[in-house]
Amino acid sequence: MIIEVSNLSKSFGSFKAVENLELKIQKGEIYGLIGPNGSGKTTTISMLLDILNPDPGAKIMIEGKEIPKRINEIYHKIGFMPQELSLYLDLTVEQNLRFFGDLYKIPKSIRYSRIQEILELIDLTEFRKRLISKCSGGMQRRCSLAVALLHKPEILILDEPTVGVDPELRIDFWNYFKKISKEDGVTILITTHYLAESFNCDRIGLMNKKILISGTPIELMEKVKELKSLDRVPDMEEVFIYYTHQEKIEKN
Amino acid sequence: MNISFKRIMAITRKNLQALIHDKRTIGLLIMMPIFLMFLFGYAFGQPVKHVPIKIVNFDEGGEGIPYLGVNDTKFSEIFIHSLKEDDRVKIKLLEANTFDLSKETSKIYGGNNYYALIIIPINFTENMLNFSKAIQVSLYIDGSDPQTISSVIAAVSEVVGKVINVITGEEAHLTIEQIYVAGNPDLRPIDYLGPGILSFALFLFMIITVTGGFTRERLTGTLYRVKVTSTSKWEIMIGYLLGNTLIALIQSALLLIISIFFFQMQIIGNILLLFFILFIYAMSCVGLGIFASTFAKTELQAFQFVPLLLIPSMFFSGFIFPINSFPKIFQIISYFIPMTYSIRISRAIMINGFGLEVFYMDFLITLGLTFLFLVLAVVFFKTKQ
Repeated sequence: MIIEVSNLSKSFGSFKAVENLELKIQKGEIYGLIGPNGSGKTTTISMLLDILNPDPGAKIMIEGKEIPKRINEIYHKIGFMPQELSLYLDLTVEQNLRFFGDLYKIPKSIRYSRIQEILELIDLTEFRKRLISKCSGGMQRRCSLAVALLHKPEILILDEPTVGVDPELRIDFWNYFKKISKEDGVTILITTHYLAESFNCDRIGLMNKKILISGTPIELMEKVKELKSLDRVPDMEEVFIYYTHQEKIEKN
Repeated sequence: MNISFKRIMAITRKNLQALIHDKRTIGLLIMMPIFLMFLFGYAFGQPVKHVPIKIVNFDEGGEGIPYLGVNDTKFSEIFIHSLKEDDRVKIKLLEANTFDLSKETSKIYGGNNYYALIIIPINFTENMLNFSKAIQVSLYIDGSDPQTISSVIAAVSEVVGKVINVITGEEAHLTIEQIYVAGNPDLRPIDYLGPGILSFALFLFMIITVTGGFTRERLTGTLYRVKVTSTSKWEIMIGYLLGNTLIALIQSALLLIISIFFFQMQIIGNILLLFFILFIYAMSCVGLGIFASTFAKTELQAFQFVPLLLIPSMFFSGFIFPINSFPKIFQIISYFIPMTYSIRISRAIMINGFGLEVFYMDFLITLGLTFLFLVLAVVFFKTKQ
């Protein structure tokens, strides 16, 4: 297992943002955390990356290393694209890439070529001298993804990478994720609130403060079809609604 | 023009509602006017008081000359006694037998809490008793703070004058020989304020950029993204320190060029030493800025810290108003303000050409405060949400 999480909870005062979350992700897998806004996806990712402290009792292992104790040993293997833009608006596209490239200690000899390569990949070569503040929303998202990919990470953690991205580019993003997962064995943890995007993932976890159910998208749909004795395959919305209802019933 | 009262009220209500949710801003709204009232109340129109000075008395008195029924009279003692009663100065008497002029005058520096030295000559009483002769008192002064020192000069001449008048009935003539150990009587306001403007401008720039910058890094999430590259908070802080202090030095150079070419200010002392001091001082400002930013949850709150830090520094550092004109409590506050030391040292270097051997105490305190603010910044600065 690349990522293994158990008993992960986070409370803000009396509000529970994440409750006893369990998660297992294998190497080279695209795992989607699927859930509506406010279901705890970003909170979970923040805790995995040691940006936020979990409630006591949580156990997080990444590549067999205990987090947060040994997080510094694996940060360099992780590429992270946060939900917010998290780029320097008063730097150009290229300056942002160079800055993060230096933080990742990419050797000077290959830094330039790597930046060129990534700029081509995200189709921003032409705009590399443009200030981030002058870029369109889509360009900013692409640059943010470029920062996450710059140092060729083995694990990609992407928080809502496709929000605000036009449909064409969204397809490109997913194709690229699938490619690096299959060809380079990159493990990808991705969050989205677009249920339709779950089909791009190898496995998904439907999330509402915890993982309600986990499996391949097809498995989950088949399961709901069986449980609800439907004569057709339900769509992902129906699957999600079914499990959130089930959870409410169980709670009551 | 179509003006809708409903819309106007909606905007007014929205602003008030937003404010109610921002407890820190409400706190500042209440505290700031109280704070400012006290500051201005104490800073303006307060006379300079209790300026520390020293006196050495060589007066041998008027032996055997009976005066007012007293046989051995030292009029200098009446003078010293009257000066002690005067609240403009705070006197320390030096022993005449162990007195070393060059050693004493080398210590005259505001930063050493020692602004002036009065030397009462051997023939003070004798001259007075002879009426016709001119009576002279020597006054060695640190004149780099004109307001403080004019108060000292006024106190000395008034008190000596009064004593002479009472005793000799305006017959004798008093001269106060003023020897400027530092500064000079022709010091223009710009000469005095210039070194202060340097420190003030640096402080203003550092606090705005660092406090605002760190708050923005936290709010936009770049701080966390930087953390995920395994960059430590030390690396972040040292990076900020270097970048900002470099800007501080460029800014200082620019200010110095303007002061020299447009205002004919002279820099008597070592300019490299001045830059070195400003470099250390700028680091303390960065530390303070980072520390302040840890208390700001929004950029609005971060900007409210600017006046909160800037105004006390401006008032209590001796930039415009002499520290000795404040009540004791504010004088104590001034000890914790890096600008107090940076301004005093800058004046010492620029106006007087002093070196480290004179202001080493102020320098050590600047180092100490810089260290303190950097430690506070490290302790309070978190790269987590």
